[in-house]
Amino acid sequence: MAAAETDKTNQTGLRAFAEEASRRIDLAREPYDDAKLRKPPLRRFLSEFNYMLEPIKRARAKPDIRPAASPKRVMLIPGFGAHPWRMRYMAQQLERAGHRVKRWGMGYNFGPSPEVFDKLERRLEKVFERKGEQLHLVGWSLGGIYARELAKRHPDKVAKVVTLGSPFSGDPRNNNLCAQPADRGRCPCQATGRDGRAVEPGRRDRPCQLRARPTRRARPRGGAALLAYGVLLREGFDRGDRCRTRRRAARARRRMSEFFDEMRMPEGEVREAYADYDKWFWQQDASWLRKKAKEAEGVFRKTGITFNVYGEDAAEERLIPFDMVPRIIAAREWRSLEKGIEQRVRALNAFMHDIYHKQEILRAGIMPERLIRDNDAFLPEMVGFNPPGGIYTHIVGTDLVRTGPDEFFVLEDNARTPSGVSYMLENRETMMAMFPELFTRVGVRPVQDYPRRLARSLAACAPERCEGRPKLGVLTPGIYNSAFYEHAFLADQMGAELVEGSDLRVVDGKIAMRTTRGWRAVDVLYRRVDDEFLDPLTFNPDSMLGAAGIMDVYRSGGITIANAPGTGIADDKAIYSYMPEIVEFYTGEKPKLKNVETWRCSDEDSLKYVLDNLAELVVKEVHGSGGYGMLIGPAASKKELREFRAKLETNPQGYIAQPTLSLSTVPILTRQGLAPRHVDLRPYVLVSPDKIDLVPGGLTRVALKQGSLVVNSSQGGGTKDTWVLDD
Amino acid sequence: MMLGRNANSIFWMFRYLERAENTARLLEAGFRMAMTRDEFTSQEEWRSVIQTAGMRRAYEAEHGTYTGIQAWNFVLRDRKNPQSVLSMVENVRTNARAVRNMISRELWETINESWMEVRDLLSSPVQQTQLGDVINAIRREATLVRGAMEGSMLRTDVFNFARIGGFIERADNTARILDVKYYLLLPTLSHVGGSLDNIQWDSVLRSVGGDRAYRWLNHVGVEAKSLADFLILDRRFPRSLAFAYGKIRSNMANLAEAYGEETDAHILLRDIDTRLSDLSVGEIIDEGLHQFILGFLSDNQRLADAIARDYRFIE
Repeated sequence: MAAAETDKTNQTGLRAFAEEASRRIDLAREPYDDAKLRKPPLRRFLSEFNYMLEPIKRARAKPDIRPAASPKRVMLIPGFGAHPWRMRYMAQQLERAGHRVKRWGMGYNFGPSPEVFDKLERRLEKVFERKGEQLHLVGWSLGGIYARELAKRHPDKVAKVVTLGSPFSGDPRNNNLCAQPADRGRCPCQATGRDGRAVEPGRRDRPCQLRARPTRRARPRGGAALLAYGVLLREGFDRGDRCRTRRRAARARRRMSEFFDEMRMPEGEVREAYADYDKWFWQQDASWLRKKAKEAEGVFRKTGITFNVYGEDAAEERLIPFDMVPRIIAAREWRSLEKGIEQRVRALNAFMHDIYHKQEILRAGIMPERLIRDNDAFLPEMVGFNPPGGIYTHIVGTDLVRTGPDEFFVLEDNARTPSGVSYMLENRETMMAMFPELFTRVGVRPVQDYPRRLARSLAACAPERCEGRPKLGVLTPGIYNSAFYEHAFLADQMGAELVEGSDLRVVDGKIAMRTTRGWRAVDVLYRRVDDEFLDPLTFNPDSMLGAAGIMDVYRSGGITIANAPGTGIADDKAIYSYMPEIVEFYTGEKPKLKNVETWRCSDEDSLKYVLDNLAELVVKEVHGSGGYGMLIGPAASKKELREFRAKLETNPQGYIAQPTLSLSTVPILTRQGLAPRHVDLRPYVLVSPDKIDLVPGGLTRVALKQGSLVVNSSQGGGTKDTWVLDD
Repeated sequence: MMLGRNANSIFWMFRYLERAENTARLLEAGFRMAMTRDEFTSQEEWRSVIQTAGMRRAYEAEHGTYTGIQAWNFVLRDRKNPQSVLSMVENVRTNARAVRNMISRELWETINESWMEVRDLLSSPVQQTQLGDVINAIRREATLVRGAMEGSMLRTDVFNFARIGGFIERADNTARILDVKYYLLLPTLSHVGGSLDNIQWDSVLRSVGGDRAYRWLNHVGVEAKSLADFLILDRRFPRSLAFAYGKIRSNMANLAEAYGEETDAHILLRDIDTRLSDLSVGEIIDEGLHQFILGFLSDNQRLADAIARDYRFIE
């Protein structure tokens, strides 16, 4: 093990080693006749290395091949981990003799699995049916075992089987190679430079598979691969699966290598934050992991963690797919994020206060007045009003993306009503229930107390006229809202009442809810209803979702509304483009977190640039959210580009453009194994008069489609548990 | 103290649950009856099942005849039937979802899983061979939900409203069954001890899950008077009217204690329950069984309304 690793991982590694070894001890305990076991002559053993000379020999040698008297149809089946081209030379020679050679039709042989075998059977049937002629099967190594099995199942279609170096039983001892040195008591893997790669190509740090048998006397002589291979056969398909998994992952890695992968470096080495997880992962059984993934889905369905998709049948509830590979953030990375987010949120609050009071930022000429004046999210009702505790944005869910080791960008600030925090909590809950041992191995900072911290933070912003302990309420639009589950979840966890607009009315200058014992005052309302629907008397008169008169109560200090009405202005994408200036203006510091470069299409030069480079840019509506109404240039069709160009020309002020970011990737577990997918990150920040509280974690959204950059759950994104590591 | 809207949801959640279960029992009894009868009487039997379930009008708008498979599919899963078992189970879940933060996770998960199972079972028309399984599943789900509540819920107002809803519905259902079948008692009521059409009465008892209980308590054959006594006044039988009211009284008393005050509903409840305790089966029969049942059904309804009003279920 590498010296850099901690003692803890050493121990767990050893434990895993011991487990592995004892699991396989049966293998070594089978009785057999010791006397028959002899080592091969040294000469033979060394002659194995002749294969290195093959290319030279082949170039010069002209094997004397005579035409066959009765040409046959031959199918060549490659060995484990090999491709048919490895048998091409043989195929050429066979063809020279007049035989017809067929490939096995599946490329690399990644080990046995029911699917592979099915395909092979079908292939055999097809070739047989085409000419009605029995086949001669030539199998190399594992291919030979396939060939035998095929002959057994289809004796009518196979004329003959030739196997090259195939083991003739699963017992590794039949290979004459597993002899152990009595004095050293080490396993053959170590003795042969850890040549256990037939089991897991590309892995060197995996604990050894076999325990030494001290009674053996013969010395190991290479070929441990074959030995491990025997193990592979005994263990059935699973190992092979894993190998395939790993190779596919490697290929996918190559494809995605232009992006920053958070788990692996471009050379394939695992980054430090993922080291413990990675080790754990490869000790798990692939099919068991898949079973767990299924289970997790069942749990989510059972607990009803669902959301509704806008525009679909109201009764339809969907699951947000959960991926069980966590997104891991190192302690150091988190610390710098934390500082950046804190600074940004502080600036946001100051900005909100300013634009609803003196508007100094406009006077300083930092941003044009029009951006505030013409903004629907700007509420004149809030002008000159001080919200309780001076807090506007009680809960902020900053959307971050990553493009490199220390390259985090803020994509959106979400100062209105950021959602998704219940997934952060349930994902953790699910991970802990599924893989408890993982959490004993890896030090992950807890997020479970978020609801308590939220309740505390909200209570700290109680309004002036509040007697006793502030009574909390969560205002939901109702059970058909897409995020209803979250509303209920948070109310439940905070011990707050989950209220709907119809439960509320103004009683004695306070907002009160209708209870079984009459009207009871609510002091702090965590509302999950948009500004527009909050008060039919002030805003949209048709709204049934809000409470009539709540704005008057609010302005007279009878209730705290979180987040404050009018904070939506900070979510405006045109305002976003000024965030670096905003941060600097209010904090006097350089912004610690970067903004994504943004072209405001209202600006003539920018518009020209955007139109010229439309195919490379992401264009967003200034007021849009949820991934709707945006254009991803590189992925758009010509028609879409044309349409967007027209939109931009007619209403340039409605749009901004950003470069297409190379979002970082984190692997997800697919049927084929680990595969990198693009992710973003939304940590949740709680703001109260005395502190800015950041829960170590957040919601990682992941685009499940390969290459896709859209992570929104309404458009096929999934989520991951997000781990912030302990120091 | 809880939100009035939530109290309403809890109350109706358990009413629907009870109704779904009782409807399933009713189907089971009807199915057994119809199996042993000729075509004509079997149609009569299904008509009576549909009538008891209060779906006659909706059914006749859809179907002209009362064949078994039509009848039970209508009762179980027809989308045109707002009272179908499927929509009742959906209502249970919708209400539970609305009060998700007031009920235990265990209870919610049980309800959600039950809903998923029943929904799957009823996703395609139910054949004769599956009917037994479906009915068993529905009954089992109801039992599981009640068990989850019993074992995991705090004994607060939430629990009490749930129980009150359940027992009001149960009393209503038992009374309805009696109402539809009371005429069977008529010919024999006058001469005491006259024996009844055993199969018919067995079926009634079955539809309230009381066939074995009745036999256990009354060793002799089915007799009209003791049967009416059993279904109405026997406080040992958990589906009798008197039993249900005993429970409602105790749960209402819990509410009064927790809230520190009684409501109009408490007064009304005392009236109804006293009447049930003071009456003997003889008096009921002399007064007229049908009259009695009609009176009870309307009292029961008034009580439910009073509770909804006094506890501000709706505005």
